[in-house]
Amino acid sequence: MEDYTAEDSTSQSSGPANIHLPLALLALAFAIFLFAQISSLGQNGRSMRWQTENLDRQIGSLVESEKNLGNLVKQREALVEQSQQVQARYTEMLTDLIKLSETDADARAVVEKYKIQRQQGQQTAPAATATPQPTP
Amino acid sequence: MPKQLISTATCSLAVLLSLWFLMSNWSNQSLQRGLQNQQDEIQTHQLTIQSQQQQLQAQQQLIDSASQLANQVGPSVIRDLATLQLQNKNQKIAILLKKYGIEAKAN
Repeated sequence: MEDYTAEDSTSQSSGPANIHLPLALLALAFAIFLFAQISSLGQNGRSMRWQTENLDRQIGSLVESEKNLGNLVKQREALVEQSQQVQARYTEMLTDLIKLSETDADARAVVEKYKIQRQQGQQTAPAATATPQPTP
Repeated sequence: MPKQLISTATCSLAVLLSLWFLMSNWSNQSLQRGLQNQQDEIQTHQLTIQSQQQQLQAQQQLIDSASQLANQVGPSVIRDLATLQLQNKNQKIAILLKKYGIEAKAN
């Protein structure tokens, strides 16, 4: 009877101790897992910060390019306008020359020499644009 | 008693690390969103630059075309017309040239 009591008391005292040890091991394993995950996240975070800095520089460079191109387009506007006027003037003259070539042999000779012809499908210019081509 | 202390300490560590993990995760998600925004911004800038380059190209084509007309083809045509007008005394061509401010004179 005494033996039974002693055995019973031993099993009661070793019960909670046996729970603490696996619990501690489990928590430790989970802590190690979490630490590895946190390290990985930290590395990813550093990488993303580096990428952010690079992208910031890239954005700065693109903004600068955009500004330069905008200025270049503006600078050329005067030249473009001048070119448009020149082209319109010549187009008008060559269109008149094409019209004249219908009745005049000399004008026809020049038109044929330079192969001046009206461009097809020009909706904005009903009279059509005359495009001169250099002699072959 | 020491075993209880060890298990409590490791469990507390695990809880703290869990919180740290969550915070790191949120921070990374925020960074990820920032990167995405920056990439969108870059794409927008690239599209604008592409459009400006096309505009420049169109301008250049117009300038080249006008330059060719004004420096090569145009003067040759006018010279030929003036020569024919003088040679054949062609009044129609003289009127045409005069309309555009050109007057042919024999040397």
